[in-house]
Amino acid sequence: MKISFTSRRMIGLASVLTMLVAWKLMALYFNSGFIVPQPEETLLTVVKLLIDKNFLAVAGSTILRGVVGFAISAILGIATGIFAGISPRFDAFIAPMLITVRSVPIISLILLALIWFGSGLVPVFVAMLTMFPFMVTNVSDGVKNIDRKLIEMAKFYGVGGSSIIRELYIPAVMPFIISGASSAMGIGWRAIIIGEVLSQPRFGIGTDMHSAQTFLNVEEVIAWTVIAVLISYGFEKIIRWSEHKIVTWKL
Amino acid sequence: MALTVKNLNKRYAEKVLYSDFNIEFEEGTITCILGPSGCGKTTLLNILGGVNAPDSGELEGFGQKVASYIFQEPRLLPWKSVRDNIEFVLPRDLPALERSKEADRLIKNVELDGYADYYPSQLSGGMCQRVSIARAFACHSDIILMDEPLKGLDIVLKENMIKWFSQIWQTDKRTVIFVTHDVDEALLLGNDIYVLGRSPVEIVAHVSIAGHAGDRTGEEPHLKKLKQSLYLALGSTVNTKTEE
Repeated sequence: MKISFTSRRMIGLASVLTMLVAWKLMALYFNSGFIVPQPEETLLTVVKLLIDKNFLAVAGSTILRGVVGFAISAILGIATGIFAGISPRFDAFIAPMLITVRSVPIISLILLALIWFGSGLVPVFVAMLTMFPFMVTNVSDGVKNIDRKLIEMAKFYGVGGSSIIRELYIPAVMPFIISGASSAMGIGWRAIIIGEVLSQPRFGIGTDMHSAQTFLNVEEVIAWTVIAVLISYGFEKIIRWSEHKIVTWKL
Repeated sequence: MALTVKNLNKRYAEKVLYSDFNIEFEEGTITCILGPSGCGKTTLLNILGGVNAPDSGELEGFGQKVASYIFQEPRLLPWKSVRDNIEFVLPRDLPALERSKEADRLIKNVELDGYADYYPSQLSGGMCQRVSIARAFACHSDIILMDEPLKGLDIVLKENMIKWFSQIWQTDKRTVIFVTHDVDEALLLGNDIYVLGRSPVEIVAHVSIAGHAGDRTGEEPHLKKLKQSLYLALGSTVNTKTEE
């Protein structure tokens, strides 16, 4: 059954409200700010954090790490994915590596990265490694999915190689790149914040979350969590928006 | 002038498809090639279009000729609008304005006015196939190669498609080589009809029909007679059944 855009929105809103009500009920039940703080107090803490003079440095550092990690993994992932899509040999060669990277617990990556790199780089490295397999798999699927008959048609009509790449390959793979970016970003933010918690760079959401936890400031831990969720949501929105702009032909 | 295929040899793996095969195509006319499935009709088209090379043999008159194609499926790029799909096969050095003018002229010809900015996913299968006809005529080609473009369309659509195709062709008489296994299509469109036998391929029948393609109804007595003889010729190429 299809539902309209507005009713979808209303249901989405109802879902958020349900979560808030459940939170409020739990807060009332436990009746302790050390276990479950009140939602409205947490919201105040969010506002307090937002207007703090260090906020831009803290959230900005985390976002910057995410963007850098994503950019590196996107560039490497797209290149590797294209090769894997074109060459079945390379695909077979890279598959065990991707499975390995994907199965390694994030915490192992962080512990190793802590030994190898400086604290600011650890989250970037971890984010890059967690996002990379998503990009490769999606892009190589995209390349494998290109309709051979379309390529044949272009060749029959004598369309040049560079036009075929620009007007056939890239648009065909684009939706796969976008969906790869979306899943990569989703997992990437989590990896970055875990990385920050453990590596303790000077600025970072994870760093502040960890110190809040040390002082049993549950309110602030949750407030930072809310901010992290909003950042992740914001990037997801940007990706969806660009998909809407780029992939207009898909109905 | 005629395009001539002389002493064509082509094998596919161990199978000999063509052995010293000869055929002639009159320029500016529609030649239909009928034959049983798998006899190598598509291979012949690919050789004529220069996509596959023959093992040996000569193609006379094909020299610098450019071919365009109408496939069984429309093969449109889903991310391009109708206009852009047609422009895709135009020479890249053509100015943008001329490209879109040329595309729009052909869109009009296949009666798709107003659909220039639609994506293929927004069109019906028959409309998409009309775009692919427009594309074939937009391409600055000398020869149009058609590989069963009407297969799987319902009868009304098929007749309409034949009408559209012949309408455009009347104003722009290119050499058309039309591969099909449907006798009716061949009778409605062809100036010359060749019936090919099993591989190694031989011509088992050749008929010429006077009169314009597209004006025919298939009900005329001489066409009915031709139909019988074509069925007979096709029947000789298969052992158990007379038609597909």
